[in-house]
Amino acid sequence: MTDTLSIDDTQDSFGLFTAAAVHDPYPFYQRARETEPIHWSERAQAWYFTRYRDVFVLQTRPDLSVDRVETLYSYLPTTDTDRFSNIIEHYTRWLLYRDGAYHDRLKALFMKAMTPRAIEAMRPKIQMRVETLLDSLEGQDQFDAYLDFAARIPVQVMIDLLGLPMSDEAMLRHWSDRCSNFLFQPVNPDREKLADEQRQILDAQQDYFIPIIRERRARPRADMISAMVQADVDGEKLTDMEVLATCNMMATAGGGTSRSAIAMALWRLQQFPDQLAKLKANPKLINLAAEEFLRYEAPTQRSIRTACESFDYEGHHIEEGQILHLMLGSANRDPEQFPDPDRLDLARNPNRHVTLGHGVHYCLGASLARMELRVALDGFIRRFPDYRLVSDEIVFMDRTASRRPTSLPVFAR
Amino acid sequence: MSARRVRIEQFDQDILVEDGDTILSSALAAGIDYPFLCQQGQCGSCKSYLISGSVDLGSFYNPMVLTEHERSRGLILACQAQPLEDCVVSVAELDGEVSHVVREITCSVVAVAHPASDITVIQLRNDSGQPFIFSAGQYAHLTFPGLPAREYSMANRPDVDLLEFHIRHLPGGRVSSYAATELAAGTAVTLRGPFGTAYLREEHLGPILLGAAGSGLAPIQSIAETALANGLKQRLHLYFGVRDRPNLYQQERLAELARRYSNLSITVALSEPSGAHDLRVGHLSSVIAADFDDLTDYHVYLAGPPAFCEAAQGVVLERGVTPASCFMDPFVTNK
Repeated sequence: MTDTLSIDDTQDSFGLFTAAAVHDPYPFYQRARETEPIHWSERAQAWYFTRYRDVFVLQTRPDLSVDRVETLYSYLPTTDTDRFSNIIEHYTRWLLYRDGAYHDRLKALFMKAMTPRAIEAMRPKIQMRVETLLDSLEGQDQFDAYLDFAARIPVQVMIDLLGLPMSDEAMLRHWSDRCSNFLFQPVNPDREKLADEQRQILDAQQDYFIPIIRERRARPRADMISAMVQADVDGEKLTDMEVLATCNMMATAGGGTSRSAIAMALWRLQQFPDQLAKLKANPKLINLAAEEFLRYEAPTQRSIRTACESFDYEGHHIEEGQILHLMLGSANRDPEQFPDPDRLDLARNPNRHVTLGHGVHYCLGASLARMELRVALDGFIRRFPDYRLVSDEIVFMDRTASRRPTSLPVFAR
Repeated sequence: MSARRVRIEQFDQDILVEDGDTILSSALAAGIDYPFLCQQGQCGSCKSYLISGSVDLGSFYNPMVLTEHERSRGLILACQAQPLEDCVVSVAELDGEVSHVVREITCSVVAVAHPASDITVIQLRNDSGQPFIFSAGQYAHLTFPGLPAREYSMANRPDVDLLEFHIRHLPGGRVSSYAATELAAGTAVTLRGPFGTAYLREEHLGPILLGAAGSGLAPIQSIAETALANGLKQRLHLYFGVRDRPNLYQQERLAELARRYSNLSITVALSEPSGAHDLRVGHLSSVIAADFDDLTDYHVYLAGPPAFCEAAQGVVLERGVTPASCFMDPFVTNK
């Protein structure tokens, strides 16, 4: 592994790909913003945008596509690629990676399921899930706030939303973990092994989901799978495989990011004891605080786009087909937008972070993510107001595109 | 730097909004518990009605969250809106419930019709200059000149300008007799509302059963038309019951709705039929009981006389509907 810290070397893209950046990318982002905020990486063959204003503008450009087929192919072993065609087929059904009519059709459905009232209606159930988990930790001197708490909530919420049995939690969480590991790619991936694992998971998902989807077609219930099988635009229904892909997208994208947000907030609060004290004194602050947590530690650190056509941007020529990395985590720490950006300020208002995107590809689960974050942190801090980290060191998943701890051991009091 | 004064009706509080600030950020800074999630014009949590004044709506909001139609009806997103003068705003939803402020407005009758032997349908125009904001399924108090106030449900969609009410003629009823015989276009009416909790929950993803007895069709029609116009795709079963054929009304309007939306089915039942017909026979609650074994995951809306609502509620609860998923405001009649 190249562990170079020669961050002035633009050939190495300011160290953005190094192991040190996995642990703490912010100094590298800062150097990139200050030195070359629009940077072409020879190594990654992609553009990197690290300033807030560029990320904000580019997120809404209609001529930038989220289509990821090319990127997905690059994740596969180079020989005998046909073996993995089901992986490409599956992920090209993800709303997240699609433009155009299919995207719009599914999006309208999601927006119905994610209205403020729908989210508010989910609140009691989320609270119940959070309280049950907290009950299970009660009485222990020490537990893992990531594995035993943060990582479990989003999967349980997705299970409720999709209408699946809670007894399948461990399996769905495993799938969600492994799919996000594939999509975000570890720093030095074993492509053969990862692709093979993906193929097996997608086969298993088919065995699991297809009978459930067919059952909902026959007898719809009040869950998201039922809503998907009944949805149509211009008389066109979603296929079983499209519904399956969307279920996996919800579990992976929704399950993966929220758990990181909850855990990172609990970690960062320990570094800003004045802010933790403020939140304990005024629990209503959680609504604004949730935004600051999302700004401070974006679970997904970059948003990837492909140029549909060539264009000039701020003195640079972007060619059709080139990949653009919009560095959300860096934009969120840009002092031009956020005064004193490295300070966690729970009352920051306004707080227009880019963590959940905006424009056409604004995160459709954003409202649910916010509700989970608010309810989970509020519940945790009420129950364990004096929690402390067992160690200041925290080990992150081995990748730079997303930030997620592998565990977060805490003393309960 | 100049500041505008913005009154927020639900919190009974005025705030100052400086140039360049949004209504939401100023409200939060003032310690008001204004609803919000995204602050980016993407979620709709802070959706509010602009009651008076004018605002810059902002440019970064999702047109699916604040549609052109909603903008034309005075809706704004507080996280984007910057006041251009002193304003009054009303929050659309609080804690997951609609939070419409009760207003008293003056209206005038623009149409009167007698489509069934015991039903008068009237249309009112809002002359007050204030918006009348309600949700499908809610009701209001109507006061005709010289008569006591009575409760009637709005039969129109909330986004339609003319207000429609169905008035059932009760033998000996002062107001309904007046409506059946004397009420004419041009009459001034005072309306106070909205009231009621049996309004459409659009967030529900499961199937929906609508039961209307007699003039209970008014709120049910509003709910069905609103649900379908807003793109709800699940099955909607609409049951409409009256005594006999002369009591039937709105049949063409309902049939047209069912032609247009394949997820709507309509069943009409007569409880005391005379003469030939091809409709279902029986009390509406019994007809519903006969048609469904299992109503788990349904939302049910019931409207009509208390006896019908109670009987139908019993039927649907037995079939798996939870009490929280059965919505009704039984009609209490006054002579």
